[in-house]
Amino acid sequence: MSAATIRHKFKKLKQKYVLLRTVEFVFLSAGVWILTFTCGSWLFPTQKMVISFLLALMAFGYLLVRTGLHRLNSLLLAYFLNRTYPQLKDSADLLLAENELTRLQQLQLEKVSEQFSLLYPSVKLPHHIFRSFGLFVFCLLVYFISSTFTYEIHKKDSTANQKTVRTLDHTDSVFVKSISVQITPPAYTGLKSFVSKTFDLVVPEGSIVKWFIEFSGGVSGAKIFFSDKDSIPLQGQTTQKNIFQSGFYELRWRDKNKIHRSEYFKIEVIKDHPPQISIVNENQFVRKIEYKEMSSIPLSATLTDDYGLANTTIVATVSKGSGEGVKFRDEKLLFSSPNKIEGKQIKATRLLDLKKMGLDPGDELYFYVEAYDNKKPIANRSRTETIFIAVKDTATEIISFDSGLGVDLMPEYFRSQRQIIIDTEKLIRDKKKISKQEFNSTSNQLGYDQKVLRVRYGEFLGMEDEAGIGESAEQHDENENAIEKYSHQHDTKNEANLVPAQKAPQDEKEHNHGDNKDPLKAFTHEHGDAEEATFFQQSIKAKLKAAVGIMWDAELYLRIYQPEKSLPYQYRALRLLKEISNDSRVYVHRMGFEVPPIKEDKRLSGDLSEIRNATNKSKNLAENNFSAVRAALPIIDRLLQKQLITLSLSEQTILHRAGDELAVVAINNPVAFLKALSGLKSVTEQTLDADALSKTLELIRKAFWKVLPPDFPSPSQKESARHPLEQNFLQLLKND
Amino acid sequence: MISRFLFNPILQYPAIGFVLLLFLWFAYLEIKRKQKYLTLRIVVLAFAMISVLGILLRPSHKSVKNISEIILLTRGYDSKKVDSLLSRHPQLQVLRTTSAADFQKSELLKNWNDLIDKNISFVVGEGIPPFVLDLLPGNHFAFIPCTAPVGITELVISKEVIVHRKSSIRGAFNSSAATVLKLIGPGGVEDSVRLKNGHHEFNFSLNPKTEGQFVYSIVAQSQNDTIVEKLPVDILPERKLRVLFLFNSPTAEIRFLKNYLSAKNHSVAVRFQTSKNNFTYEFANLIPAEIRNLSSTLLNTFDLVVTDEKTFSSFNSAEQSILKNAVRDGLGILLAASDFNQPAVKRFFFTDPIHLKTDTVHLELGKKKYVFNVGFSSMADRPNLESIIRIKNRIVSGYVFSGSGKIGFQQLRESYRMLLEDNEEGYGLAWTDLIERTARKKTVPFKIEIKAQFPFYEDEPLTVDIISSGLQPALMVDSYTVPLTEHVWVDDFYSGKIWNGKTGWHKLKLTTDSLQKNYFVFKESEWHALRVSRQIIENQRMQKTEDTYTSLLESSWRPIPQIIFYIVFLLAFGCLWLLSKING
Repeated sequence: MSAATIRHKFKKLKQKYVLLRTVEFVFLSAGVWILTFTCGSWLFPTQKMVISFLLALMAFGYLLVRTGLHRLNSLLLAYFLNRTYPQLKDSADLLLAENELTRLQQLQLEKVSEQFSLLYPSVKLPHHIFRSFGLFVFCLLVYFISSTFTYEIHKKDSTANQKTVRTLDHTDSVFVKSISVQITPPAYTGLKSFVSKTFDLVVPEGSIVKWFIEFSGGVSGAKIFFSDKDSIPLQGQTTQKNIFQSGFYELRWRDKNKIHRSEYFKIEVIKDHPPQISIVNENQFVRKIEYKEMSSIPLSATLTDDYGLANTTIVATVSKGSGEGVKFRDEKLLFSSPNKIEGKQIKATRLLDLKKMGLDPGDELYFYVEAYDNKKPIANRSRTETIFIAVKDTATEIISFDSGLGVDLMPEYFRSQRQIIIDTEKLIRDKKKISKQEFNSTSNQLGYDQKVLRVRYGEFLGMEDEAGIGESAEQHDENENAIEKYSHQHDTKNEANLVPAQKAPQDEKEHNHGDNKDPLKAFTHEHGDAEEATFFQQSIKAKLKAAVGIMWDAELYLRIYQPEKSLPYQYRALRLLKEISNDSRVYVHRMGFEVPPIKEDKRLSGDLSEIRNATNKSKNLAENNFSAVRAALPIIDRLLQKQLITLSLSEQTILHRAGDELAVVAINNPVAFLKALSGLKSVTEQTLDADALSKTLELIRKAFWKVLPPDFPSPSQKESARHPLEQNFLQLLKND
Repeated sequence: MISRFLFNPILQYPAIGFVLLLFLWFAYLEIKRKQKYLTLRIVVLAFAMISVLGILLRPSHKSVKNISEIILLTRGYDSKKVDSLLSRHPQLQVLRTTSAADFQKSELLKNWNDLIDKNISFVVGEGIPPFVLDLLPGNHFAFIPCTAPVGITELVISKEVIVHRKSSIRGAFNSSAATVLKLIGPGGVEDSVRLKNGHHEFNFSLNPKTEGQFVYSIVAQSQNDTIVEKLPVDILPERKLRVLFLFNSPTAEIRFLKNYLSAKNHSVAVRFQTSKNNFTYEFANLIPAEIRNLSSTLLNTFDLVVTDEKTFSSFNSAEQSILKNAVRDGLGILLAASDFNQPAVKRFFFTDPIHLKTDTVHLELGKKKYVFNVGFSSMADRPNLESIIRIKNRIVSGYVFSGSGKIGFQQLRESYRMLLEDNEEGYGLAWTDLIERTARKKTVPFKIEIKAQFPFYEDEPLTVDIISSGLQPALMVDSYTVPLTEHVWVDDFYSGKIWNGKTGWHKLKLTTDSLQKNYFVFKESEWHALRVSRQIIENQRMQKTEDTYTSLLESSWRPIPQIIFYIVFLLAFGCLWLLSKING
């Protein structure tokens, strides 16, 4: 074997050794890399890749230096061969000798060469590839096993503190480190300020809410946005606002990457309710008491308020007199007990002395209790129902119980012709049911009524009050005034001036008007002439005369107990009286409305040339029917079916608009819709966790559906495709 | 012998004559050689010619095969029944589907197509799917179904579900325990019903608030189990109408009807006559147009004309004729509160006399009861009459067909008081159906119908029919084109078959029109009970009538392999060459 060959073989051996060892170091370094990466997932997750790579490099370098691989040369290899293979008789270095050899060395060289050529194919170089490979596989196993635990831990982190502001995936984004909310209720409520444990706030109306927010880095434009479109910027780390309305809010801030938004948090305002008053011993609103029993009435009221009462009064009104002369007097009274109105619940009492208040028989007292609470700046007021106390009038009773006169001076009612007719017809119907005596008596009574009516109308004609058949025992003179006072008389004294007054009745003797030929006769009223003694015109007079005459006949038959024969006369009399009342009507000009003058030249001409066709146009301006919500619903349903959030740009826009529409409704009802709003935000920003996806989408879908108003069906046009056969058939029918 | 062979010649039969001549010529040459083994040589030559004939004529021979009877086991089969069958018919070969439980000595059927040439005598279990039965048209078998599955076994959904309209979902449920069935929609529980154990019918109603594709759920909760099935619903929007009111004078009834329709965004035009030549026009949701004079062009732009007898009688004969022709062409006309007294109306609409009656009717509309005076009540004996509100034999509202159009009538008077009482639902019930069915239908160029029954499963075929009004349709499903074939005998009637892709909503769309139809594809495991119950019914239709089961002989023509003839040809001529060499 030549020297060149030997050297070549040595070189090959060296290369093989370097390769083996390098591969071994690579496996070991890779193992180090994997192990470090695994540990880094817990300890330093963000830098794990860099650190593990560096460590692996360092390990590789260390192994390289330690084994001296970089210093490996053929001589060292020869030494290795000498140690490992005794056949070479420690003379392997001779194979590499370049200087001239001695004879003995040359002999040895020949032997060694021969041995070397035999040994060469089976030379085993030292390495631990398999061991290092095994270590590498072991490290891989460790990584795979630990990776599942790593994922679990991440999941737990994400579910904890759901109500906190989310941290971002970007390692350099600014997030909210801490946030606390201090609530200071209004001073009048007496409540202490407190720190809310959650970001959903339940605060008394008018409270000052102060937020303390700490960010992980520098931010700009940090603001809190409220549902009523208001926003407040953060001054440093704090901001505050007076809260009067329920709603919701979110926090927004900007860092160098983008604008961040928190979840929606609700604000529920506890309203300050007006005081509640209940009157204890007054269980009916209207009470009538006797004058004898009139004394003090105890009044007891229970007043409660959520934060405290400030004042309460009894507002009393006394009414005296009746009719047009009634007078009212208002008084404000205080409760006698307690002395001072304060506290959340009090029981107030007072005695209402009616005599002291000046009530007399026939007077009334109205009162109610009103109360004010301690709300600032404007107190809440409430009042009870009005209670009426009426003192019964003694005057009417005295009259009714007076037994001085032998007769009942209660006046007769003045009965009209129609009433007499009704009674007559009733009498005729009841003829068989009642006794003859009763029948006759009633008929006679009706006759008397007819007479009274006849006399009354006769007065208008100037007739004297004549005694008719079956005269009643009543004393008419005395009753006359009573009749005037109590009967329903129609135009007896021309109160309404319906008829121009021409003549005065005969019994008014104080007027003296003189001669008939007086030119003023038409404008004066005559008293002397019986024929002229009427208020009516001549045609009316004749009718009235006729009516009176007919009434005589009607009265006659009633007096002789033949009411059925009397009825036709009564009808005739009624008809005449109606005609008289119509004739005596005077039509006057209507006040307050100027009718446009009628164009007499065009009136009734039938000329329609100036009449134009009228055209009205209208468009149904439908109320906001949540168009974006309707468009968003199928999108949400699709995401729910796919269990995946993939949104195009247009779909994102629709969801944003639907969120705006939902937010408007959520202002009035944050409890029902706030979660859905938060969920929708997560969907549009695609920050929703996989396990919460289904529930969140269902919540959003339900909220959208709830928001839509129901409607009733309206007709819808049907569609149909007309096959040519059908068209031919219809054409044949048409031709027929 | 010839009947046992079938030829498929390359060349026509006169080639036989040519080959025969060739044989005679070669035989003559062989004889002329005067060599030994002449007989042998002639025989070999004959074989060679026969092989040539075989190559030219390509014969096939009839083979008769004895096909053994098959018992096919499908999912849910009763093994005891199978054992009993096998004991009676031991010759049966047992095949089972992949979803069926294992059975001893049974072969697995990997593909439904393998059933095509099988002699199926019995099918046990859930049965063969309908789309596979289509592959076995002449095959009848005895079917032994499994026990009825627990779940929804029947389901009928309204053909069209329109927004704001009550639609019904009817079905039947089979259960071994008392069950609560709920229909859950986007807004929560829409409807529910309690059912006892056994097989019971149920009826749900839903009133959707908006249009779109939604997936409802039917949940069946019992002591033992909870079954949830998805119910896809394609909610269609309301299509607005164009309505023309023609009246001599306005009435409260018409005013309220006009306002009701315009508030629902329908396009409404009104013409009231104030004097002989003067009119008052009103247009709601419509661009004002000239509607003074009736013309066919004008009437073609409207879907419904509402008028009354007096107004109609005041039209001149030309206008009446235009109206009549328009109705024949598809326009709807609605006579409000008509007694049909006017001769013109009778002449125009009806050819035979009408019996008139006046009466009152008691109706419950929108959960309130009303008593209406009905002026006209008896048209029950007309064959072309469709009633909408009917009480026994008294028809309160309805329509008759007239050519392509319809003539409707409404006998309710003062129905507007329902609106005054804030009973919009009742008012809608009184008028909506009548107007909708009387109005002109929108003519669309195509109509798509899916032949298969709900539900549709993935990897199963779906046949789609398209009725065309004369145009050539081009159908796409999602983004794929579907080839269509026209019916052999009926023009403009097309069919296509599609294979359902992945689960979820899919869209059938006609590219030549904006028409589309949505359908939902389910996983195989969904709607199991419904699928099985329908499958059982389909399999029962394939029942054999006779009781005897005999094995079938299958005969088929098998071509004789051409290689044989080529080998014989080579051997024969090789033999001839050898013989010539032997002989020197």
